[in-house]
Amino acid sequence: MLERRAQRLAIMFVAPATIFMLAVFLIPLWKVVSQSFTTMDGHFTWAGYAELKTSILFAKVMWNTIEISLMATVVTLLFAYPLAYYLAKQPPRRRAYLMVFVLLPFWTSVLVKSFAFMVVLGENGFINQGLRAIIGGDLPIKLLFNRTGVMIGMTHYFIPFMVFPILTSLLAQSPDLPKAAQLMGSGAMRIFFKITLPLSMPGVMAGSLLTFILSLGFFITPSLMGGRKDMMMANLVDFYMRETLNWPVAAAIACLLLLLSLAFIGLLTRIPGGKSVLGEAG
Amino acid sequence: MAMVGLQRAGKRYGDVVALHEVDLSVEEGEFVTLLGPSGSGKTTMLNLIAGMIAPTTGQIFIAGKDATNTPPNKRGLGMVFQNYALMPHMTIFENVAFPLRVRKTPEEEIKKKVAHVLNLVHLPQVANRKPRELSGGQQQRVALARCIVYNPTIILMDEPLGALDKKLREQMQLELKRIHTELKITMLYVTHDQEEALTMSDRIVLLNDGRIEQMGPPEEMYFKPRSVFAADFLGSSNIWDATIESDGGATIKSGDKVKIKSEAFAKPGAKAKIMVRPENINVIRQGDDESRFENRVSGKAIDTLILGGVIKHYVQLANDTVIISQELTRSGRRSLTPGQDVRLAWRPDDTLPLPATGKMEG
Ligand SMILES: Nc1ncnc2c1ncn2[C@@H]1O[C@H](COP(=O)(O)OP(=O)(O)OP(=O)(O)O)[C@@H](O)[C@H]1O
Ligand SMILES: [Mg+2]
Repeated sequence: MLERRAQRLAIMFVAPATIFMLAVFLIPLWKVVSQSFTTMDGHFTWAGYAELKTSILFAKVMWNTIEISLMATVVTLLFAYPLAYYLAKQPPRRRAYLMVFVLLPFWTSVLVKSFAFMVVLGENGFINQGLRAIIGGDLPIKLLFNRTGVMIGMTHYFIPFMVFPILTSLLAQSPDLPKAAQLMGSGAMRIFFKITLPLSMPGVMAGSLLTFILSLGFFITPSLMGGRKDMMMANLVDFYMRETLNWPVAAAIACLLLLLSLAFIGLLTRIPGGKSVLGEAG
Repeated sequence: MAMVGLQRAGKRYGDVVALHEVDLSVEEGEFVTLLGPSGSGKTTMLNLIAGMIAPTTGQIFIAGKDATNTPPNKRGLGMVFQNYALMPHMTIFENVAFPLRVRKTPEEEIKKKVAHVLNLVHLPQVANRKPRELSGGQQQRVALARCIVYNPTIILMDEPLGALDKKLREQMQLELKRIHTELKITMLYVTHDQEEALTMSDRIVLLNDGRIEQMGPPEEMYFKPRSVFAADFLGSSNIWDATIESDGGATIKSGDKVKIKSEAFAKPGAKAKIMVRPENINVIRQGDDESRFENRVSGKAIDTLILGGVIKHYVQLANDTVIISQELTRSGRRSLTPGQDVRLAWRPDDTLPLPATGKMEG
């Protein structure tokens, strides 16, 4: 009896989200998958995948995507960890107040921000104008339409995604642990590297993976702020869809991108601490 | 040599005085307990010694040297936390080895020492487990092992048994005592449990509202409290309002006249409190010779409680005065019937006058 009630309750809670996901995610996803095996006039085909297998452009873009995603993850981590560490040390009220600033990047869309970045970082943007005024001469630093631009744009967007899981795992640590270590004679470096950092690894892993997976599918930032060499897979999908009108290839890339992301999520379950990201207690 | 010394050491937080200026000296090998109600400043005092907080006034000495400005990691102390503070990501072996690694002990020696202390706390088989795979009592013992493994001169413990159930607690008390005697470590122990303080300590420091109320060996604290607070906090007691008479006796609230131990402050006419421990008050039964006891009163039985090994009798005297007598439980010893007339008797030596407010000097 009880079990059946629990089941009914579970269905009630889970059903709305499930139906929604089915409608707006799974059905379109199925369309994309089937599209990748269908020619423009409706016949089955392997051609999309076959073309990708030999395409130098695709291979290049795929490695590009992984490389940019890795770089963005590492750069984001380097910024986010100290931030999370600082936040964790603050008294709760001050932390809540500072958190609003961490969330600032969410206040505007990526698109609007990308244009704003162009104003700031461009050859005649604030930064270069400022530098010109100080140093003089005419040597603008190239901050846009290259890897630097992509990194600035992506890192800016990802920092909150990285800060929160790390902060959570830092706050979950008992404040007595560093105290105990200190009393046993340990210095600050050892406390950080032997206790605080290892115990925050689940957060670091969660944040990094989230960042990495999010950046695999990034589109606006590389297309607006990157150069020709910074094309990522999502941009390639766009290219095949609108420029060459080759939909099977576009869909095939989308499918491969999805597989790639799934593979990394799968990887996540195999690394220590990784399971905590998927909601399993570490 | 004093291992720990506090000289007029005090701590305030804004307007809150957590600890008034106190003096304390703990000798080598001593087991000293800081006892007091919640908020009395026990943790504050321990943290001052550990270096977790800096005193607002006064100085702190460790092993004879001024350590007021020494950071915690240079004080050479050990501390056992109430929640154990074991590193959850390390095995028991790594946890216990941690302070040795800090000290750059060679690996061979680490192995030997860790095995040795794990034996000492009766846990030789858990080295490869993680803390969460141990019971509370076992974790507690690991925390202790981690503390003694590097031979700190002093071990501080803040309610280390607070989270354990009664039985385990008593077992751990014995264990702690054993380790203390075996290793002759100086121990500073915080508890708010008076029984624990009485059984374990060489000396008890009783704190009240950020001040040291009284300190001394357990028997002295128990039988010679110098204030109503101390009498009340340690063990149960009969405490009555009383007036000191010109012949050195006293009239208690019930109107009964009793002989008391003489104390300098107890001048004729003075208002005072009179304290007698329940175990010193005897129920006079048929055939008992009551002439051995000079203080005698009569009353009516209210109730009798059997608490395992002891029996408590509650007896009503005149003027709403209740007196408690405690005896050892013996088979055949009859409880008192409520309403029955009872005669109680005790010795003047067990009848302590206490100042009505504050404490006796000296
Ligand atoms: N960080 C702080 N800020 C302000 N007041 C504090 C702080 N720490 C302690 N106090 C105050 O100092 C007093 C003594 O606190 P302490 O923690 O030493 O008590 P305690 O004897 O250990 O009590 P307990 O048995 O509850 O642990 C309390 O009144 C407490 O409110
Ligand atoms: Mg405390």
